[in-house]
Amino acid sequence: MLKHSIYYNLGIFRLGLAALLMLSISCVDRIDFDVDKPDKFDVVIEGKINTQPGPYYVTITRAFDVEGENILDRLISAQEVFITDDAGEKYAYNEITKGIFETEDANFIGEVGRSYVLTVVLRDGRIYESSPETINEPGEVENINFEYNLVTNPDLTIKHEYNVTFDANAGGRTDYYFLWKFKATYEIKTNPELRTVSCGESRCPDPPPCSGFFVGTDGQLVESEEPCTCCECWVDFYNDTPIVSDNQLVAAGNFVGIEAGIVPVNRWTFYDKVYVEIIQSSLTPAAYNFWKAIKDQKEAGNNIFQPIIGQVPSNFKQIAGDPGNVVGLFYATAEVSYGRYLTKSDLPSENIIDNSGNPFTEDCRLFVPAFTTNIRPPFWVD
Amino acid sequence: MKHFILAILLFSCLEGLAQNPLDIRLQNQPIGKPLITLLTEIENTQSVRFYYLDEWLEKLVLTTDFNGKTLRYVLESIFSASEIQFIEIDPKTIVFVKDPTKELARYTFLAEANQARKNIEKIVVGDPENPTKKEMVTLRGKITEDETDDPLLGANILVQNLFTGAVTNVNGDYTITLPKGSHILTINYVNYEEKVIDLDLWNDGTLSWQLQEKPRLLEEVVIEDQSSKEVTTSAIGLVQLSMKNIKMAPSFLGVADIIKQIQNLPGVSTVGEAASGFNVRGGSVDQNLILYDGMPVFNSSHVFGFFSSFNADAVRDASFYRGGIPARYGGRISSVLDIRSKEGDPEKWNFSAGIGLLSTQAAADGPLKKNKSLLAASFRTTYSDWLLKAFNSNYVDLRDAGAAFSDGSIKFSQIFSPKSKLILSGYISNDRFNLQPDSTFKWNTYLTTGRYDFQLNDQIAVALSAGWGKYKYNVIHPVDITGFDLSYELTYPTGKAELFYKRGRHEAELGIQTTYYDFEPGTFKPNSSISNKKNIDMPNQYSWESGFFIADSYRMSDQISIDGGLRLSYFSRIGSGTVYLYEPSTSRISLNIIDSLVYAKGEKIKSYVNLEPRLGARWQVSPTASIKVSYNRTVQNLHLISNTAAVTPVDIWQPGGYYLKPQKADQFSVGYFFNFKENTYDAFVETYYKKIQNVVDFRDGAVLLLNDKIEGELLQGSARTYGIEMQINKKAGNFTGSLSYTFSRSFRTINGELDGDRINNGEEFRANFDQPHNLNLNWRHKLTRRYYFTGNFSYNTGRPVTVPVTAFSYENINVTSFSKRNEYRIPDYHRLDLGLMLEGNHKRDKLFHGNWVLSVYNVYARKNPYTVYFEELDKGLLRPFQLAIIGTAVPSISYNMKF
Repeated sequence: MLKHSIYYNLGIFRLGLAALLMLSISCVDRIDFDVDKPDKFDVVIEGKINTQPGPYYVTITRAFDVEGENILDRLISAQEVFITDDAGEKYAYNEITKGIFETEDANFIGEVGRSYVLTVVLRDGRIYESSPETINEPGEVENINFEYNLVTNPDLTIKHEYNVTFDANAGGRTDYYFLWKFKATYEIKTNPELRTVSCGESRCPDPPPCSGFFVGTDGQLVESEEPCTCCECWVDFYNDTPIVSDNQLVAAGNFVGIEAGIVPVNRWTFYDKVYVEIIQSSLTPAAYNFWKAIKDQKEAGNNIFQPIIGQVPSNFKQIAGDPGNVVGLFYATAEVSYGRYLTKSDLPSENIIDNSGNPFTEDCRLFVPAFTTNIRPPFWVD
Repeated sequence: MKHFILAILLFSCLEGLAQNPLDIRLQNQPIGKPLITLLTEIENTQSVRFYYLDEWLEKLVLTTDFNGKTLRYVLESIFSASEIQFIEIDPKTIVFVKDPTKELARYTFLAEANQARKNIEKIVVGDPENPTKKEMVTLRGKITEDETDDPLLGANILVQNLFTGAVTNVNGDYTITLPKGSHILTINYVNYEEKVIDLDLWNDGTLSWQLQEKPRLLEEVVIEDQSSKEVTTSAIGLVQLSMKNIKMAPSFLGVADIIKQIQNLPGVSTVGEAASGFNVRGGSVDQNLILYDGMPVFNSSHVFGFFSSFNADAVRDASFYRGGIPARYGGRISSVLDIRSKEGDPEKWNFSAGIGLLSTQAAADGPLKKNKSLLAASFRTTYSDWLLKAFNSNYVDLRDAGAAFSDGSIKFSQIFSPKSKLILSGYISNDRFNLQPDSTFKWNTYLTTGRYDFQLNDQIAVALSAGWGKYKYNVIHPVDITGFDLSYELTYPTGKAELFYKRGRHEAELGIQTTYYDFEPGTFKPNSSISNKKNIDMPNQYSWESGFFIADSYRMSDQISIDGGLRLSYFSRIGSGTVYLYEPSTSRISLNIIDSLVYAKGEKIKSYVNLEPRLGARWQVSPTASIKVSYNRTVQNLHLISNTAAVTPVDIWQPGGYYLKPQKADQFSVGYFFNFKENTYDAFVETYYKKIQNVVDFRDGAVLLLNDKIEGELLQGSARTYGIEMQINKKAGNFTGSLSYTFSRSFRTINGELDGDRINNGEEFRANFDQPHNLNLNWRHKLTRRYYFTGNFSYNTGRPVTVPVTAFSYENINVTSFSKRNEYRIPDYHRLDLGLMLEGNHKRDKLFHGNWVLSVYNVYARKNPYTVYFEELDKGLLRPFQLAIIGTAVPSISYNMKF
């Protein structure tokens, strides 16, 4: 009977007390590969024409180290740059500065339905030619929408921002090859007259000349007769990831609620208001593939499943000279844009703007260098 | 004669302590030298005398290069195919006798078995007074496990006096044809007591046996590669896995994992630590057919690949074919992993339960009605969220992730008679993984099967089976303006009929199998009214995959056997569906569509018929060595479409069709398998070459999900892989273990007609899983009677990867330029695991047996990459980072108790 009961209770009990000390087991590290040296880097050609009056520009540069080094002095001079249209007409570019070219004929304007080929002849004899680029109808941006969001940061602080979406249509086209760019502009007012420098153990006024002030002989700040030209600026910001159409977003030629970007709410962006603009560009499949590859690349970052990101396809081919890789794109497009202001009155409360912090006491053009101007944009209204 | 031989044996035992002349090693002896000449020379130089009749030996010569071998080995080899035996009377006297019935060998073995205190059973089959008139008789039987009555797959039945044998199949059955008379049989299975049977065989008959597990629980820690020890079978590239062994191997967090153990075998690799699936002989993950009770499994991973979805407590055994794939398997081109779940014990109920830090499981099996209705069930669930929380990762999404999984298995067996049985089984696997506050991934597998086995007579058996399977996944994005639900589903009912025929030296199989696939390639919909997502409902895709197969295992002689097979596979993509036609000589993009073909439901869109010959042969060149060759053609019509290096749960399976052609692989392999030092060691060297047509790849930046024109994103080309695998096992003594090394290469060529249809300009490039060097070492050292020191070391060359090399700026956007596909390699993979096993005492009548297992996984904290991914840092450029999931040493301790 005892044997019987033992067999009827035959069992296996397994107790795992694994890894009590395992507090952290994974880790992320930079990994370095022994990649090519900079002297092997590709030629980069950037060119675009559209249906707006020119001039149009072409920039020829050299690719740079992925670590961001050797980023300067990359412009490459060329012997000849020209466009040929589908009627056989040739439009030359002039090199206005090393590596930057401008169309010679001021009357040359891209036309919808026409095709264009860009040819670049480098000084070492290499010739690159783009595939034909046809300008397609641009469709239309119909509306821009703003949605307020309160976001909790990982450090538990909060931030206020607006999601920007837009609606657009393909204008009767059925191939849906479109590129959208998000651009936002806001006005800032700064106080360059308050700039100081160290003088002994204290600080002394040091306003830049554009501030409308100067330092008197007594060392005090004196208002000049010239108005301040660097106290009021406009700052542009963009979405670094291009927005391209995809089949998840279109229904019967209409794009609704496409995410464009984010407008942060702070004392700078909402000093007065923000102008948000969506530019819609028609693309050919080749240009679409180029922008799509860039978008995929931007989105593939941080994906732990390691998407295999390929090379960004260029529409240039080398037709003469010693072999040398080329990247970049020449594209011909028709563009439309739509803009809308986002003002303080749109905020749920003006109190959400944190106005604490020091004034910016520099030339306002230095607020975000290269993206800030003291020239009032033509669309800006008070 | 018997008395004479016994007398000689007794005499030899008395003189056994003297020096043995048979240990003389031959030097400078040419092939073809007459044996008599050799013996005469030895007599002239050594104080030894050989007694024989000249006519016995005059035709015998040195058949191969025996230099360096002992005289004993030489004589055994030369006499193995003759009736002559030798007896060592004393160190100076060797007598040759003619022994046509091998009785001398039989008695020698019996004497040794007695000396080793082995349990010898005397069995008589047939009536000695009325024996059959046939010279050859057939013996059949089933080898099962003593406690559970589970059939033992791969048990060896060796006829010691004839140097021949058989191996049991998945049902534990074996058949062997022997001369009428007396024989010594040994029945062996890893971790089980060897059985020695003194058999008198006078008629055709059956001999079944139940093997008893060895009392020591921790007898083995390594997977036994049958191909290295079975010099007597023609199976090449077959590995039979015992879950009992797998449970004892060092493992991550102490979770026994069949897939992880397969990754340690020669010819098998993985793309990274904790990666899902495995790569076999340069093939991709989707080229492995994984069967659970006969049903295909389309995702075998829990938590993206940390663990496999098979609970070790629910699995009885598994067969893994990396070459020599039998004709009954089809649909994948690289390997087959055939997993069979446990059946209920016919006699008694067994229960088991386990609680661990990661998961908890329970299992029960036993008779609903003794020896008639049997039930086995198991369930496992996890609370693995804590594991992900433990990740001190810079990858915030992973640190904040959550994960859970569960799986369950149930099996009911109804035994109608000794010749007929019905088995019904079910399996379910669920996973949830979420990246906060991002998407939640869910994937599920459901399998049900029914199988009816019946034996018509001694020669013919039939198996009928039907099954239904479903694999699905969902991606759920939180409710907001981008909120969506994405679902994918694959349903596949299947049916199979097999007929087995055994007669004489033939063991044949005939069958037909068909599977209907209903793919729902994607339903995408917004999950709230504020979402900007659009409804996308991809049309279902339907197909039939059928196979007719015939195979025969023919034992031509004791030395040569041949396994031949032929599979006729038929795949048909059927409607409803739309096929887009493209402008000739242009890329398959929307703009180039010139027409479309619309097919009604059930209408054939495209079909493919392929003949798949399978051939394997074994030539036993000596009692301890054999050469095996095989050729396989395999065809695959379902393809895993993925553009990531690591398999993800949202990869899609795509049926072949109008544009997507079947992948075809031709694999040749040849191997040399041998035992030495009296079977203390076994080893093999095997080389292979595989050529694949229509291998599937994709364009850079391909859109694979929710794409009804996916043919435009996929590219097909060719692949070639080759390699050499070698392994040596030490199977006896205080130190046992195995060492294996594989050199293998895997290349692809995608060279379409158009520029965009090429990868790397049409040049041959390294496949994702091209890892030339692979080394595995595992061992078990018996420190004392109850203490064992175990370990495992693995090394792989780092796999190829495509990495950022330069950058450029376009319209003020910084863009990263990547290298050619797979131009670089990630760092090499290597890892050391150590374990210490402490057993309780070995008394058989003890109420319970227990053992402690202490192990450390990744002892020297190697940061082996799970993946290399790209992170955007300053200037908007992507830089490569490696994520090591298990970047430190992971200790674990567990206690196992059986009662």
